[in-house]
Amino acid sequence: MGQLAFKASVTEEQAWQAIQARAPRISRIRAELRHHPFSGFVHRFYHPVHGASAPARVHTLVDRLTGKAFISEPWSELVEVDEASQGSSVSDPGWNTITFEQARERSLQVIRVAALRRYRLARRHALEELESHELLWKPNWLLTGMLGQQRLRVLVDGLTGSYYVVES
Amino acid sequence: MSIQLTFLLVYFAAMVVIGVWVMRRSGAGPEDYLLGGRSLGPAVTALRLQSSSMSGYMFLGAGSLGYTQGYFGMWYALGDIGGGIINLSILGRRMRKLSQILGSITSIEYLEHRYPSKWTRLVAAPIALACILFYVLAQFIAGGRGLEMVSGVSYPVALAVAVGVIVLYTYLGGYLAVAYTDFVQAIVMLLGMLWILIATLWAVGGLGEGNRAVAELDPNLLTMWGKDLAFQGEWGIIVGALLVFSVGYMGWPHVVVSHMAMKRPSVARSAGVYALGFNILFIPGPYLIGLFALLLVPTLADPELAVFKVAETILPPFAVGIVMAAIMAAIMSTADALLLQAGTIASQDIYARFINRGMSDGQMVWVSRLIILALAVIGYAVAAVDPPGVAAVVIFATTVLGSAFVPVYVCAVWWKKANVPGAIASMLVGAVVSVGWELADLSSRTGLGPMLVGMVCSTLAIVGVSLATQRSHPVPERIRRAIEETAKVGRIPASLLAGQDSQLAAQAAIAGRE
Repeated sequence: MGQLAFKASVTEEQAWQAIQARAPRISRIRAELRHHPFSGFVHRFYHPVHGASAPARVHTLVDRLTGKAFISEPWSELVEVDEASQGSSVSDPGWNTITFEQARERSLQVIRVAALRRYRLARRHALEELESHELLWKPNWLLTGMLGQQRLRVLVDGLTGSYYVVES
Repeated sequence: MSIQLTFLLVYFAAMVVIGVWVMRRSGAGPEDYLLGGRSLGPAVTALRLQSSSMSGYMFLGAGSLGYTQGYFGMWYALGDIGGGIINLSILGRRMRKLSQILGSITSIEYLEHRYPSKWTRLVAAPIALACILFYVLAQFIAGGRGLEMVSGVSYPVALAVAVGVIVLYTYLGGYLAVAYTDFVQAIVMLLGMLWILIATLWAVGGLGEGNRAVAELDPNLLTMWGKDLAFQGEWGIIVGALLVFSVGYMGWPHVVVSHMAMKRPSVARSAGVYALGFNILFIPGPYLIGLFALLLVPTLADPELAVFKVAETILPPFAVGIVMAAIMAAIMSTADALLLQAGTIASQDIYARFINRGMSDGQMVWVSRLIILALAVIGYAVAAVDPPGVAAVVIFATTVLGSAFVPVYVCAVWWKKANVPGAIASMLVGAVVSVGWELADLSSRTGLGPMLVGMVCSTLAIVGVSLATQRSHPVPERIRRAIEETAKVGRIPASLLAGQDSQLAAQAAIAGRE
C-alpha cells in the first residue's frame, strides 16, 4: 500500500443500510473494506467571471487502474495507511493502468474540459498545481448478500455511500 | 419597431437578467461552478438537456415535412421520441462501463482508447467537426429566417445578427448561470410550441375537422406514405427516416458525452421521466402545425416558414414575439452546445493530441475561440450565399454521423474482434457512402435511404475489415479483457439497478474480480 488513504466516512452498517433502503429483503453474508488506488491533485483555479472572489481549490482524482479522472468534492480527512489496511487493496486487472505523470495530464485535461463547458470562452482561467499525491487509497465496501435465491455483491463507496452492483 | 421584435428583445434581456441574477444569488465560487450540475434537480437537469437537443429543425424542418409530406413526417417524430430509449438500452449501460474502465473524457478520446491508434482520432475528429458545422449551419439559417420575418430586415442582415448573437452567447455564456437559462428556454419552447399547436387546432376546428379538410386537399397526406403516396412500400426510405433521429442521433458527440457523464442516479432516473414527457408533448407539434398550415397559409413559397407563418396568422402580435423567442431559444441552446463541442474536439482531440502536447490553458481557449469563429464565418458564408433547407441539412448531418459512428460505437462494446483497421474503415465508408448517396440522389432511384445504406455499409466494413486483419492487428489483450468485463451484465434487481452510481462501475468491476 501507499502512504495516505481517505478515511472511510461510511461505516459497514451505513453501507448495508444504503443497500437495504433499495432492497429491504437482502440478507447479509459478508462485508469487506477494499481500497482502490487514485492519484490526487489540488489546483488553484481562478476565473475572472467570479470577480474578486478568492481563487478556488479544485480537487481532482485520477483512477490509476483505468485512467478515469474526475473533479471531486473537497477531500475528507486523509489518514496514514495503517497495518490493518494492508492487504485490502484491489489488484490491478491491467486494463488501462496509467503512470503518475499520465495521471497529472489527465487531471489537467478534465479541469480544462470542465472549464470550457462551464465558463465558455470570454476570458481565460488560470490554473496552478498546489498539491499532488501519487497514491491515495479510496475505501469502498464490498458487500455480499442474498436476495431471495440470488447471491448479490455490491460495491458501496466508502466516502459517499453510493453503490454499484458487481456484475458476475 | 414591431411588437414582435420588441417582445423578442425583451425576452433576450430577460434571459440575461435571469442568468446574471441566479449566478450572483448562488454565490457559487469556481469550485462549485466546475462541479456544476451536482446541485441541480431532475427537472432542471432534464429540461436543460432537452433545450440543447431540440434545435431550429423542430420549428423549420419538422414544419416543412408536415407541410409537404403530411403524416409521413411522423416517421421522423417516432424515431425522435424513441431515440433516447433506444440509446439507453443499446449503448447506455455497457458504454458507460467501458468508458469508465478506459478512463475516457471526450467521445473521440473514447474511440481512440477502444481502438488504440492515433489514426482513429485523426479520422473521427474531422468527420465529427464537419457534421457539427452542418448542424450549426442549419441553426444559423433558422435564426436568420426567423429574424428576417420578425424584423423585416433583409435575410443577410438578419443572418449576420443571428450568427453574432449565437457566437456572443457561446463566448459570454460563462457569465450566466446557463443551466437555469437553458431550463427557462426549454419551458418557453414547450409553451410556445403548445400555444401554436392549440391555436392551430382551434383555428381548423379540431384534429378531426382539420384532417377532413386536409383530406379534401389531398387524402394521401393523411397516410404515412407521403404526398402522392410517394413512399408507399418504400421501406428502405421509411426505415431510414425512422433511423435518422433514433439510431443516427447516437452518433452525435454531445449525445455520447452525456452517456459517459456521471450524474447522481436518483436525479438521472427522474430526469428521464421529465425528458420523455417533454418529448411527447413537444415533438409531434411542429409536424401537425406544418400539416394544418396547408389550410391556414396554403400558398407558402417556402414550406420551412410554415410554423412561423401559422403563428403570424393565428396569434396576436405579442404572442408571435413570444413564439419567436421560443424558436430563438431552441436555436441558441443547440448552437451553443454544438460550438462548445467543436471547441473541445479542436483543442483537446486535435491540437493537444497532435500539434502541441504541452498545450497551455491560454492556448486551449484560443484554439477553441478560433475554431468557433471559423465555423461561424464559414457557416455565414454558406448560409448567406446559397442557403439550403434546414430539414435537409439536419437530416444530412445526422445521417453522416450515424453512418460513420454508430456501428463503431456499438461494436466497441458488443464485439471483441472489432479492431483499429475495422473501425477506421467503418468510419470512412460510412461517411463516404452516406455523403455520396445523398449527392448522387440515389435514394429516389433505389428506394433506399442514405442512413440505411450508410449504416449497412459501415457495419459490413467494420466486420469485414476486422476479420481480415485479426492477425496483423489483433485487439490488445487489455482491451479484450476490458470488453469481457463490460459484457458481464448479469441480472440485477430493478430496485437496485435504478439507483446505481455509474461512476463506480470500474471500481466495482475491479473489486469484484477477486
